[in-house]
Amino acid sequence: MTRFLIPVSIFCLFLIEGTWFEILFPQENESGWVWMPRFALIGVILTSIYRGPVAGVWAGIFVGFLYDFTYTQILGVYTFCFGFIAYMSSYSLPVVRNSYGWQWLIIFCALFVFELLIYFIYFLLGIAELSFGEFLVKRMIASWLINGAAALLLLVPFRRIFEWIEDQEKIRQR
Amino acid sequence: MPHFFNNKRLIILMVSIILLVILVGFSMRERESVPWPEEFVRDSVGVFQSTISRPAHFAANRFEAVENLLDTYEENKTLKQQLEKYAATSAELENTRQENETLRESADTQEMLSDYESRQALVVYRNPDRWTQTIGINQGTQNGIEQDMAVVTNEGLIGRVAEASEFSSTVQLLSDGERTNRISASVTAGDETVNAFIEGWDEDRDGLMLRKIRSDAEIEEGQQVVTSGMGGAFPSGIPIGEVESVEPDEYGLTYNALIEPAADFSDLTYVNVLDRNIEDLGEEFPSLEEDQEQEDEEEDTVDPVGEEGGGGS
Repeated sequence: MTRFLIPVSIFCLFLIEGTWFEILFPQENESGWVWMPRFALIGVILTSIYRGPVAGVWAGIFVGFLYDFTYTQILGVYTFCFGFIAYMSSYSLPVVRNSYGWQWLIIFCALFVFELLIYFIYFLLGIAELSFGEFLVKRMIASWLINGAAALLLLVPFRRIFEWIEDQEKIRQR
Repeated sequence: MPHFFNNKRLIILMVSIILLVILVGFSMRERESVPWPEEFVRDSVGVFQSTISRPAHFAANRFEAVENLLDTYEENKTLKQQLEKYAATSAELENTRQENETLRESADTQEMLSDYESRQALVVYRNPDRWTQTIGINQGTQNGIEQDMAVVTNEGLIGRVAEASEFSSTVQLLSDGERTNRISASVTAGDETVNAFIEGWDEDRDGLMLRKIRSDAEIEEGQQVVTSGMGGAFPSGIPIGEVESVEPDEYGLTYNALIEPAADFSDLTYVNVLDRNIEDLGEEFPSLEEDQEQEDEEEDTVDPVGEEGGGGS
């Protein structure tokens, strides 16, 4: 049960990203702002903060894999980026674990690196035609706003889940 | 990121970058069929997506219903004005249809370029990063969906089936910037039909680009653009959009036009997939497919002004 709790909750975030979010908030192209939900990425980052780099990277590869297979027709891009970000954000110090502020800051920075990586890979492949300045304004800031807000909502429930899992592990060890 | 430049980890990083390049290279080429693991993952995720998308569509429709209620008065007024025109148009349509049928019988043709079967599908997801414009639908090869079929809403063409798995498929929207997303279209200008190609999406002006229009064609703003039925899997006569502006292309030999799409790509619930039964068509008109192949080969080098003979009627 405890083992499946993290993958299942990340999978739910992944489904919400592509289905609920896109259906309930249909985006119009005219304004040019692109609101990219990255809820699953927040889950992956928190996993690697609380459970260490190995669990985080596996979670990242799992989500990235699903992402590549279902949403994009180009394999490997998201698998690599999710795994890479999970590893880069594995600060499992007690200071970070105990403060929502640090966790939020790490998510904020990780979003920056993640969007940048995806942009550069897609730019090299010729899929992204946006100039860098436009990318910063229309995608990066939009992503920070929406995912920063989502992170605020997700921090508390995820911490509860991880604490509950740790409790369960302690009980089992006795 | 503790000990990031540790040897072992550096090697893992390098190996994964190499894997990334290999995978990207593998999937960037035009794939005829989807490998089974990809199909399996997509189908199993599709089951969940299709279940959770229903309540979401339901909720979204409720919001819309309230919005619609507020606009009812204005809408009613304009609709009443249009109603008078409608009666005349429908009588004319009925007339034309009958005439068409009798003419077809006398000409002894059963298959037409505009014939198709339509299958309804529910939109279950949309790619949340908008780098590629794709949506997923809950119908797959089990329901008779195949690659490259046209996907439409009531308003007009929205895209083509990019990849079909067993129980779900991916649709590439017209607003996707890819140049390979090429559709042969026609514009009715005065009493002649002008054939051209829809190629790509203009990001800055938010419209489709209609390219390779003959330079002597009289294309004007407001003219309707429909599919011509010459391009493989798309039946003819599906509305694409309206001409917004016309300009000469970079070489001055042909014209480009900006098309405002008829369909709204942002809010999709149900779509129809059109099956044209291309096998039967191939038997009926073997020359048609050959023409198409030749056209594809020549497309990049051919002088587009001379194309009306080969690609046209």
